[in-house]
Amino acid sequence: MIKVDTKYYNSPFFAILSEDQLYRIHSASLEILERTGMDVHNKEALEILGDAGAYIEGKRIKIKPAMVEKALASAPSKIVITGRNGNGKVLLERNVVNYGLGTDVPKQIDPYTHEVRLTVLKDIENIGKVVRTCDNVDFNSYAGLASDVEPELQDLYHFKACNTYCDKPYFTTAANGANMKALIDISAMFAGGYEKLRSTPSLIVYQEPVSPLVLGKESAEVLLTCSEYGIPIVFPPMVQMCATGPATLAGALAQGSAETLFCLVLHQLKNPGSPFIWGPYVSQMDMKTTISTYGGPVLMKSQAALGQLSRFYNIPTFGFACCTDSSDIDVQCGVEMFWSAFVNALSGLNLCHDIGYMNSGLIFSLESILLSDEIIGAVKFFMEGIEVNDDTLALDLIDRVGPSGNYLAEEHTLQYFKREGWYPKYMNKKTYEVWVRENKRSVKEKLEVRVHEILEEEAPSLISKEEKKEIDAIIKERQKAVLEAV
Amino acid sequence: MGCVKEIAGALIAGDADEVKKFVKAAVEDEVDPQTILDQGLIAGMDVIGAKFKASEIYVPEVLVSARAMHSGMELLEPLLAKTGVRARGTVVIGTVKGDLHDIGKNLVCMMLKGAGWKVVDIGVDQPAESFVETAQKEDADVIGMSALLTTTMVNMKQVVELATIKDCNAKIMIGGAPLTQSFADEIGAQGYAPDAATAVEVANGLL
Ligand code: B12
Repeated sequence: MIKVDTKYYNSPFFAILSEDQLYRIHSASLEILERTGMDVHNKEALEILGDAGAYIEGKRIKIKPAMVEKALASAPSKIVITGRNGNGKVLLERNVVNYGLGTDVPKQIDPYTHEVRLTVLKDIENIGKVVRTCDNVDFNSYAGLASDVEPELQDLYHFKACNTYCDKPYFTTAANGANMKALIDISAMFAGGYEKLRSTPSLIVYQEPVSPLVLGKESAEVLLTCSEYGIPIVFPPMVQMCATGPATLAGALAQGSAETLFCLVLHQLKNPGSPFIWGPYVSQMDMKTTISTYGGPVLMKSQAALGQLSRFYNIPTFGFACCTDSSDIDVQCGVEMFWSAFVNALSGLNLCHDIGYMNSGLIFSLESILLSDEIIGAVKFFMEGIEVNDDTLALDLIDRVGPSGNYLAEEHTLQYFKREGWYPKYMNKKTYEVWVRENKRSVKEKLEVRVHEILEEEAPSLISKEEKKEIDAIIKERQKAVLEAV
Repeated sequence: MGCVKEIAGALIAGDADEVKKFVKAAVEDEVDPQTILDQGLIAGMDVIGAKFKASEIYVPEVLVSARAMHSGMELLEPLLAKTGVRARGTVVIGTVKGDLHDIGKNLVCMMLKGAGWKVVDIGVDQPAESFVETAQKEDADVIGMSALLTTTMVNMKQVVELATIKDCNAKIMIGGAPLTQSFADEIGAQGYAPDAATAVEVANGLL
């Protein structure tokens, strides 16, 4: 006998827009680019765009659809980033979801005193220590802003601190073209040359245009530098509905998409085929408190739409996962973190960053990394779907055990219980009586205990003395240049 | 006098036409323009400000009332100018050098305008000189500075220092996501506000 016409899903699937709705948003983006255009504050960018046939009206640049189509055709649909020592991998292509940290959070919850205070370099080292232990976190980033180093060189100090105990792929911003070049120099040192770094990049760079419709001087420098050296870059505008974009999601998506496409065009003109990650941030400004929301259903709707749009463009996309507007590890934090991780997966976003972000990106904590790790684990488990075959249907077993039997001691149970079940590290699965007897420990307390364990464990430095020396030399050189500039 | 209360009521309801109607009536009744301003328009906006701060109403609703206030002000301004009555105060406001974030600053501008301030917005990425020079030119009561980056908030100190050097006696008020009251104290700024609703209170308090 043969079973025919069967279709098996390896994961659940989900869509928020129809094909025609997607097309309308795309078409609206093209209209924004051709009719309104963007202001560009960078000379090289102006020249490149002008030479390629963009319409130039002073700083205002308008782009023809054909230029967008050409850029979409040359941008790669697949990008692989490998940790600098060959450990850990981020695969950016259709239907592959990766999770990791974000950058630049000014404040931290102190892991011991629990007070919210400015981030210091030591915190960033500790972030690497914690990320190293998280199986579900695919890439690392500094998620803070060290207040105890020169602001002009923060990104370079962050590199050294954050990578000391972790060698997963690294996600970073760069303050300007020169700092970007220094980060590339450091990474090339690890890779064994610029060519090697280009063929197997170990870092992903993050910079932004200014919504609405402005490309700034420094961020264009970073965009062009990354394009030249073949370093993957994500370049999302921050579209806050009601403030830097329309109050309506469709319009905000069209604007954010247009801004990103514009930057893609410039990026591909500089060096066709260079890796670019697409995807604006589109979310609600809360009209009661004026915060820019990182948690809640509006961002999730936009993320779902962006996943579809990126598949339409066939370019890897940026996502926002495990972020919350809450300032504490509390119920709100759990809810917002969970469902952002979940929607990112359902929507097939590729580079899902900002895990552990609290208070709309203004506070970070080590506990929130561990909580994200657990949440992503649950989402991964769900996304694996249901395996349906003779063995998992277990008809012989069901027949053998029969009415009133039990499955506890069966070989089949032993074989499958772990794979088909889910075992959290921190969520409470204890009976009430046991939980009370064990001092009613909350998830938050368990996270704190684990953070302390990790911080107190001996961890080997993953940067050798010689490598440290070279990094320091590169930082010194930049220091000199900065001093000379003033 | 009856009309003055009604001005405040219409303003709270965000009804520009009604505000105009009542301001006009009050002017015709020869109510003192200062009274119309203080007990009508500004009193109404103070209620709106308090409601916003208590999260009872939303930004766009505040802006509707602010627009209603401006339509009343248009009628009142020529009279105020004649009698030498000034706006509540003048504030010169901008985002500091190196920083391009402007949404928070723009919101603060709108709220201050709504509360009866004359607002001179100098934009983003502004050096210390332009804050201080503009403040002196405008004879401002307050300089407002915004910064969203830890790398740029340090530039606020230069403005405070330059103001002292140049004998500019405008009070300094700062804000932006990474800032704190203790940072304000540290650099010698007289006012700090964590959000736009508080910004109005703080500015009023500096007068
Ligand atoms: C939108 C946004 C952008 C937009 C800004 C667009 C625009 N037109 O303003 C763009 C994309 C340009 C941008 C760029 C960058 N950004 Co940005 N951005 C944000 C974001 C998401 C929201 C800011 C915002 O508008 N909030 C809403 C407004 C209403 O709130 P607000 O500004 O805080 O203002 C309120 C109060 O602070 C107060 N207030 C503000 N100003 C004033 C002034 C006075 C006088 C008073 C009394 C009160 C007051 O009242 C306001 C209203 O209630 C924040 C994250 C966050 N949660 O804040 C990051 C954030 C501020 N950005 C950040 C970073 C790192 C950057 C970049 C360096 C990123 C990069 N690598 O490219 C660049 C820097 C560009 C530059 N040179 O300025 C970091 C800053 C970290 C730090 N403290 O240093 C943040 C915190 C995000 C993060 N965690 O990474 N960003």
